[in-house]
Amino acid sequence: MMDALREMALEEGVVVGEPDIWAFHREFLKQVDKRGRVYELEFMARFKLSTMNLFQDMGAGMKMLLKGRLELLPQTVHKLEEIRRIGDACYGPKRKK
Amino acid sequence: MVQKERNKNDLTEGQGHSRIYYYPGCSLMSSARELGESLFQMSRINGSWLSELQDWNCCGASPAHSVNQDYALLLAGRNLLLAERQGIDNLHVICPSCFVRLRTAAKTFENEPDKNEMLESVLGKKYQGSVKLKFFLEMMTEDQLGRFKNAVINPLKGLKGVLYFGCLLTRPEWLTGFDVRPYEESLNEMVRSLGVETVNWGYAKQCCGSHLAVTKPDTVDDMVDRIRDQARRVGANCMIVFCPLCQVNLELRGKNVEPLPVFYASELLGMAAKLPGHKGWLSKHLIDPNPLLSSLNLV
Repeated sequence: MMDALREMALEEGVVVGEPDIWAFHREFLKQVDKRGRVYELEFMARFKLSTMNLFQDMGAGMKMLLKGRLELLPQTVHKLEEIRRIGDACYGPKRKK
Repeated sequence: MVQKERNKNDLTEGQGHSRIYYYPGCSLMSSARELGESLFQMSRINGSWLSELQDWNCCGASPAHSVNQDYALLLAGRNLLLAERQGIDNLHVICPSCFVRLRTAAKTFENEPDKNEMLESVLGKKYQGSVKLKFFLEMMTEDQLGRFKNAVINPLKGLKGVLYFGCLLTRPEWLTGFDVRPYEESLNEMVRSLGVETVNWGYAKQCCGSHLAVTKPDTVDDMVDRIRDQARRVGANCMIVFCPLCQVNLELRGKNVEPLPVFYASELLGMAAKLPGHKGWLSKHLIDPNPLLSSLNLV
């Protein structure tokens, strides 16, 4: 129910009340669209860039990195064209990359 | 109710395979790496070998179903098709969130033929419904428990833990097919068999806020503090979790209450059975558990 309302609101292009959460969702889905899996390191970096809140949690992020809890290299699904087809079917081929 | 009975049957069939197929999920490869390694070692006690679902993709997690439900459905659907194509009967899912996403998709394809047709139009095949989705801990419960008990050589005396189930481990019940009470009791029994004293508390299913950990840290700090505070009040010296997102969040967030180490149940088994590599898992914790463990002479 909430999901459906949110989806409708986004389609109509409303101003999002919680821009950070929307940015989080958007960057997450971009990761999925790009490689089929989420590459946490880039996801976090891009999320920080898009909210311009660069220094929040830097300490925690560095700690995770140093403890080897963030993967350094991304993994990609082999059949990426299937992920692309899913994206095209749901958002239309002209979606923003 | 009928639905739940049917799910439950799904869960009890097909135990004891020597090869266990699993869906790792994105976090297992990075932020929950020690969970992955501990599971791998754990399954060896059971005489089984873990095999990953080939070419799996992200299940979509919360962002996909929050923004576009078809996208969430098809992402999960691709994994189901892969499992079917690879002849996998039982697919063990590691993360409770992935588990709920995949199971939701499987139920949707079963009950809504137009969604299954959509899957066919995009990926060229309908989902037949032949894959049984299981939560990974099921390999540790019921008839398998004896083997794990026998493997314990270093009982974890002195650890006093609260079990933290989080939001999605058993819920929604109609979807997961677990009977919540007996299931929680069996997890409790499993942890106790490792020598850990478990304490009852009221916050086992209080949301830890991991989905907002990055976007609303202040709110989540409060949520984690409240959980930690309760755990301390009942006299626990550690928390025991089953979900990779909860584990990171419960160690990362919270400001005002003195932090508690948070262990995966499989890590505790690793320590109790002295499985290869368990010291390495412990060093990955954001809250160093070693002072606690060495004060109890457990490492």
